[in-house]
Amino acid sequence: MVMKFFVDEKAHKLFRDLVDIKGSPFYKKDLKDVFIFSMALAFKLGKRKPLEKKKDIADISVFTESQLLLINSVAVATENKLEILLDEKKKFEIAEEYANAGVYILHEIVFESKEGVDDAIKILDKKISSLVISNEEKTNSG
Amino acid sequence: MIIKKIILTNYRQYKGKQEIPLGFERDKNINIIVGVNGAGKTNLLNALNWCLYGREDHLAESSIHHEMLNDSVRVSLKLGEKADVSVEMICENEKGWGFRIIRRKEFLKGKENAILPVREEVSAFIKLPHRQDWDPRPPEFIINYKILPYGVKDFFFFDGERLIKLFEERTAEKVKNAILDVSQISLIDVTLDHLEKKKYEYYKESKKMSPQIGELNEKIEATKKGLDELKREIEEYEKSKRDIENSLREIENKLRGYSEERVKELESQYQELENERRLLRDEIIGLEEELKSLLITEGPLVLCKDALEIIGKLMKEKYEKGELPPPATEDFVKELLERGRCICGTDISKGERRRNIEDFLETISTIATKLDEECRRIKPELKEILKVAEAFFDRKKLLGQRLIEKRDKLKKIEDKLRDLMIKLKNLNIEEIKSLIGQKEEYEKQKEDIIATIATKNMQREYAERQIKEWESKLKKELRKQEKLSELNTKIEIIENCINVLREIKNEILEEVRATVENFTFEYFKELIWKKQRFKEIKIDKDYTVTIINRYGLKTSTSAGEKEILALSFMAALRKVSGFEAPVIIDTPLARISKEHRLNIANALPKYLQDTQIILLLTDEEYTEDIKRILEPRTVAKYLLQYDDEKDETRVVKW
Repeated sequence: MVMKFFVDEKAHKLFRDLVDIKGSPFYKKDLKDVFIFSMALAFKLGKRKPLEKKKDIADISVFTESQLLLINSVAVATENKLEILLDEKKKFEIAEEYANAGVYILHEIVFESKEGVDDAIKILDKKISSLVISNEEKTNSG
Repeated sequence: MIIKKIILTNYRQYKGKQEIPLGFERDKNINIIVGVNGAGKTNLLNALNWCLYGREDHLAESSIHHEMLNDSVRVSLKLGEKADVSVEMICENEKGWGFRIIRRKEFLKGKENAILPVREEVSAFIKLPHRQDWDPRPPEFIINYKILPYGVKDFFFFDGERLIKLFEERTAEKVKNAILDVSQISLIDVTLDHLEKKKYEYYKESKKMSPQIGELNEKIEATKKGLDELKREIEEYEKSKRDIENSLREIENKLRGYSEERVKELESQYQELENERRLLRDEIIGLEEELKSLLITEGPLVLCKDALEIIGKLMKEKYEKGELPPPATEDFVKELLERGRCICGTDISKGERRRNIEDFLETISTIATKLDEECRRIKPELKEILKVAEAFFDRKKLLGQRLIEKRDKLKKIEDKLRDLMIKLKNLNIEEIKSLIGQKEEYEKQKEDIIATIATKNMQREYAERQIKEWESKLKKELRKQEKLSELNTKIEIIENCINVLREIKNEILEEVRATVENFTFEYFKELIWKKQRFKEIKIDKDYTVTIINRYGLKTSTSAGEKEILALSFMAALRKVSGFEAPVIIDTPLARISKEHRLNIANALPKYLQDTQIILLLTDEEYTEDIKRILEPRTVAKYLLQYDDEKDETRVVKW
């Protein structure tokens, strides 16, 4: 059976906005790219949001090897056990919950920045840098 | 197909009956008609257009409100007397079939010298090979299927002056229109329009049956109205942008053509910098795209770096603790079970010991072995990804630095451009001051319009998405209601048809675009004199035309080369149109320099060797040099003898 990945029905529109609206950094990209970015962003922020009503958007075969590895790593890091690698369903459930929380943050960054969508790239860049650097600082001081 | 004869009667300058027999031989395909300005060359083109389509598309502005009856005939008429204007074309196809089209218009002399059109009629006839009798046929059939339909006639009958402008301004728009015309997809558009209307009729019908459906319908209709309005606005803004660009081009040409050396020099410096600015802007856009792509594809790796490190750490621990790989391999344990004896000699053929070993086998095969396999698969990829994540900030920094450098350079160029503007203004030449002022104003307007178009396009896209979303909700609602199922089926069938038709339309357009691109370059290579200079002609999906030189770079063209490009493009369109009609070019050499005139004259006989070509030339175009070049390929030659006093033209064989 082909594995599917899901997003929350309520958040589906946000995913679509990000790939359909001109000016979005994800314009004309695949939904899976938005999925991975949202998942990574929320993982870094430690936010997860269970899906209320699932809506499938594609097969998992669309992910690249590196994207699948990210999904695996996020699941392992969250559960802190390697065995989760063998539980396909659980791995995706974790990834979906992060993506479900992340897409709201990403949508806000892209479409609600004061300077308009052109500025979204700068904000995204700053967000990545600040999240990574603050984490490194925490690690160094800790 | 060739034109055997044109017969004009009382048509504009041509008083009485004037016959022009034309010829075509395998190695002589050119017919030349020479006349001074005003002698009626362009009106000959108008006469043919009128005969076939009832329209005079190339009429001079001064003649638009002037009836076509010859002035001298008009004056000689008495009150209540009638006179005819007629144009007749006799054509023959390669199989010897004859086609004759005659259009007549009758005029009546009224009170106070008024000339009143009474009636107009067109008749067509057909003649079988080797027969003398002409049989009447419906004119529309003969014109559209045997001679040339109106939609493609501009690729056969054209004006040299307009031709050279084809690749000077609004090129993409003109190329797109030409490709649309030649693709003859208007039927698909009419059908699509009809289907859309039908679909909304059904939606309206469904509205009466359910309030929720009604609400959705209202939303869709209102947004559709807004969308139509947006599209109209965008079109208008695009038109204004094109007008501004034309005005800017005119100002730049004026400045370049200014007699003062200093002005010329400053304007040419300005143009060079302007080109540099354009290139830099392209480079900046490219770098920004690269940065965007880096953030999207590699940003998640950086954000998940902790997770990647954790998985690496856990894997390492498992191997260090000896939990992985599984302590005994699956095959080895299976073999022991098959033998029924352990390596220590214990009997394991049955009983609890065997069960324990069987449980152990299940554990190692379902968890440890699989986990080991998974970890081995992941390990090399993990190493690579971590390297990429670590290099992310360096790569981003490098890209950022390059962007800063390019932006600084752009700023310097923009400063220089502003300085040049000031210098030009300071020359204290009133006209230049005013031109520069206009130029600045137009540039500002252009930037504003570009920003407005971008905003409107975003609004348009948003509205389109909303409509799509509501339509899908509407369909769901329709599906829910049994009684609406028939209506829903109808809507679905219509939608499927619309989608299929749109796909077909796009496929046709794409195929025609690619074919025209290939043929244009084929003809261009055949006709152009500097053959080695050009490597490729591209007609992009947005219909911009680019010429690529031997080094693989975009290149500009001289006026002569532009005309060859336009002739090649026309030839390609003709080829795609599938019609084989004569080509008539009015003043093909008027707007180009002497050197290029000779080059084009040399190219013209080669231009569609198997096609009858009719050139309408001014006496200034038909110089001794040109005559020498064209003479060997000329099959017939006429002079339009113009009597200035009587404003009358007689066609005489030359």
